Amino acid sequence: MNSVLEVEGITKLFRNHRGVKDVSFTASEGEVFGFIGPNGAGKTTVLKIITGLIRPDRGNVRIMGHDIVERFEQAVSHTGCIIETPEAYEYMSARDNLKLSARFYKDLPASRIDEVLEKVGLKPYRNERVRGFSLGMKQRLGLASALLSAPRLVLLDEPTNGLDIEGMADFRSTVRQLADQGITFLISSHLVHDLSLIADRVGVMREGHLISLGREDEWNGAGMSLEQYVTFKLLESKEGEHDAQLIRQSAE
Amino acid sequence: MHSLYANLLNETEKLWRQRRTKGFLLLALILPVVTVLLSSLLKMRAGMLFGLEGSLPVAMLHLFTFAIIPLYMAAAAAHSFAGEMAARTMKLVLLRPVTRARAYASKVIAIAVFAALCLGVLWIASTVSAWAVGGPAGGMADSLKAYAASFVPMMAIGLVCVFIAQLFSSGTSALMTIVLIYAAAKALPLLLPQLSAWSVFSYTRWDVLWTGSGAPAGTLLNTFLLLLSYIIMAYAAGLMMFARKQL
Repeated sequence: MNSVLEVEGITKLFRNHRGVKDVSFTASEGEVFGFIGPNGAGKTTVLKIITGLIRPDRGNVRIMGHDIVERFEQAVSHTGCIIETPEAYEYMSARDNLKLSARFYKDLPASRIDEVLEKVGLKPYRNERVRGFSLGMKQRLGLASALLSAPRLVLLDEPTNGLDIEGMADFRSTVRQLADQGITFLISSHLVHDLSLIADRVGVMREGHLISLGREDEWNGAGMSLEQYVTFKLLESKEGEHDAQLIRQSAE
Repeated sequence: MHSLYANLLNETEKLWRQRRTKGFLLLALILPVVTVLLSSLLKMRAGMLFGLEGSLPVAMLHLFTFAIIPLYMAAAAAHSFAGEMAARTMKLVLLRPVTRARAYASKVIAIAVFAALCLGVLWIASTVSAWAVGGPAGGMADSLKAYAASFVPMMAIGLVCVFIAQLFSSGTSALMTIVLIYAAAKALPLLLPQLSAWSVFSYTRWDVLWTGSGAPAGTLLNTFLLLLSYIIMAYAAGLMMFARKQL
C-alpha cells in the first residue's frame, strides 16, 4: 500500500523539557492509525508537527510525498484535521464557517458544504450560529470541516470528546466507511475503547517516545484486547507502571 | 497565489462582520454631513461662522488620521492577531493550505483595505457635503492628493499596531497597550520636540506637505523614505513573529 504519511525521527523539546523525541512511523492509504497514550504523552504535539502548527527541532514529515516545511501548501492540501478542541468562528453559522474553509480549495464543488454537513448530521442546523452549538455539535462541525476538501489524510485529536453514544457510533461508522474508500486516518486518543473498535494499527506513546507500533492482528492473534495490549506495552517499557495504571483506569 | 486571495477574502469578510467596521465606515459617511448641517444651522440661527465648509475634506481628513483611523487599525490588528490567538481560531487559518507568509500578508492587506475604504468614503462624503454649501477650498484634486498621501502614514501606523498586537495573547490587552503607546507617542514630542522627526506617529498630517504649493521634492522624498522604512521594518518584524508562532 502507498504511504500517505511518513514521519521520520521528529523531535521537539519545549522549555519545560517535555515534548517528543525521535518519533518515526508511516501510515498507508485507507489505514486507521490509532495514537494512544496517557495525557501529556506527546500525542497532540506529534499531530501539531504533522500539520505544521509546530516546527520540529529535528526530523521530517511528508504527506503524499510533500515535505511539510518545504512544500507546506501542497502537503496540507491533502489533509483535514481537528487538533485539540474543534474551533469555529462563533459569530458565524455552520455553513458560513465551512464556506470560509472552502475558499482555499479551487476545485471544490459548491454542493460539497451541504454534503459534509449532511454526513455529520448538521444539515438542519446549517444556518444557526455556532455560538449556540453544544460541544458535540461543534465536534461534528469540526469533523465536517476536516472532511470538506475530500482529504487523503485526516488527523483527529480526541475526536469523540463531547459526543453522545449515538454520536460516537456515527463517528466510528463514518471513519470506517471513509477508510474503506481509501482515506487514511490518524486518530489520537487516551481512551482505549475509542480506538479498539476502529484502529487497524496503533502507536503507543509515553513521555514523548513512541514505545510501540502494533497491528490489529498482533493483539487479536495473542488473544488480547487492545487495552491489554497497550497495558502490556506500557509495562514493558521502563517505568511504565503508572501509565499502565492510567490506561487501565480510562478503559474502566 | 490562490491561497493569498482566498485568505484575503476570508479576512476581509471577518472584519466586515464586525460591528466596529461598519460603525467606522458609517462614521466616515455621516460625520462630514452632520458637521456641515450643524455648521449651517449655527450660521443661520446664531450668525456664527466657522468657515469650515470650504476646508471640510481636509479638516475631516485630519480628524480621521489623527484619531479614528489609527484607533480602527489598532482594534482590527488586535482582533486579527491577538484576538484570534485568544479565541483559538488562528488554527482555522493555519491548518489550511496557506503559508504563514501569505496568511500574514492577507491579514495585513485586509486591514489596509478597510483603512483605504474609509479614506475613500470620507473623501466622497466630505467633498459632496462641501459642494452642497459652496465647494471645497483648494479644489478636488488637491484634497484627493491629500487623501492619497495620508494612506502611507496610516499603513506605517497600522503595521506597527500589527507588530505590537502579536506580543499579546488577548485582544483587549493588545488594544489597550496600542492606544496607550499611541497616546504617549503623540504627547511625547510636546516635551521633546526633536523626537517628532523620528516617530512614525508624528506623520499623521503628512498630507499638508502635498497640498497647496507643496513642500520641496527633497523633503517629500526624505519623509516618504522614512515612512517606507518604518513600513518595511514593521512588516518584516511582524512577519517574523507570525512565522515563529507555535500554536
